[in-house]
Amino acid sequence: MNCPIPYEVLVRYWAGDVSDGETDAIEAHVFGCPACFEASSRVAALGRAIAETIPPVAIGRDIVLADARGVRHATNDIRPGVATEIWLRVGTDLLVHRLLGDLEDVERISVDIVLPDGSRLLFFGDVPFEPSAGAVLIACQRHFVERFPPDIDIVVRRTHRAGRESLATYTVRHRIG
Amino acid sequence: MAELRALVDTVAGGAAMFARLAAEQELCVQLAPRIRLYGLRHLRDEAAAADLVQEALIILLEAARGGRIDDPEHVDRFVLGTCRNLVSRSRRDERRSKAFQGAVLPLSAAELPPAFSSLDAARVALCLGKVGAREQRVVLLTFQEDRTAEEIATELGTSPGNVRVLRHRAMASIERCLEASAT
Repeated sequence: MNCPIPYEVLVRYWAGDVSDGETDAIEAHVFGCPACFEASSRVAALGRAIAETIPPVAIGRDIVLADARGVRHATNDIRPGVATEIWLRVGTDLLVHRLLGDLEDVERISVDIVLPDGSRLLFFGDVPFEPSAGAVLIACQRHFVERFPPDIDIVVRRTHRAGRESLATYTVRHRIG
Repeated sequence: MAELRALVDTVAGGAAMFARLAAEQELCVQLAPRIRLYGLRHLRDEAAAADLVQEALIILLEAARGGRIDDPEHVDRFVLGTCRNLVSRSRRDERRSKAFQGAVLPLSAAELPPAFSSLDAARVALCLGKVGAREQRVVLLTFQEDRTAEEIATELGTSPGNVRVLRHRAMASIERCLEASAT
């Protein structure tokens, strides 16, 4: 059985973006409808997970918020074309890789994370960035470092205002110690 | 609701003790997740939602034992009304209610609904990263910073209506990504 409450309404409900009347009506239905209870529970779980999540390509604000939640991080500047060894030390939850580059006239950025043999590990097609920061921030959490191969290339493809594209490759060697 | 009604009737009637206890336990198992979800929405805290579960179930069982549930066919409505009253009371008076101290639920902690920590944090992060930058910002501002659609619209230079569209599309996209990565 499908939940008759539209997904969009459940998202608004969990975002606190419904009137008191709508809230009452949604709850009266969800309390008695197993399908809507399941659907509402999934939206709730996702909203709560997002509240604790650091996006893999972040902006400064995401790191500040993570810091406020008690996430311990270490920041490293990484230049294109230079293999950089980064250590994940005991007591650090998050590595912030600052991929340095001029972003002033950049409109859009995609990020490819590839293995040394050239095979693609992850792709993010449209990532957030702050032009004034002079860096793309990769939020590399401990569970990524422990789960994925340690040696990666991060390929940043920048689309500039005039439509020109530029590529920069950052080589990162993760080490745990 | 027929099953819930039968359970309420068993609790209220003169059933043998074991049958009554089993019915009470099943009522709790069935209704605790719904109460917890309501609590999370209104109290925004796992511990407070767990307290609400305890208090609402004790009120339910006391009412059921005493035959004071007017419409057993819709016991869910009784529980929802109880939840509303308890949350409303907790908002009026932040001090914890002492009325239920010492009351015992026929339910162990293991039988209560689990906390919403089962989503794999790494998968959520990766799926969040795959939605567009604008959609990602909308869901982060919504769920991390409790910003309204109007506030987000002002920050992103768009309309509240567009924020709502971006938000539910992003949530649906993340959910699909999580389902796909689970298989």
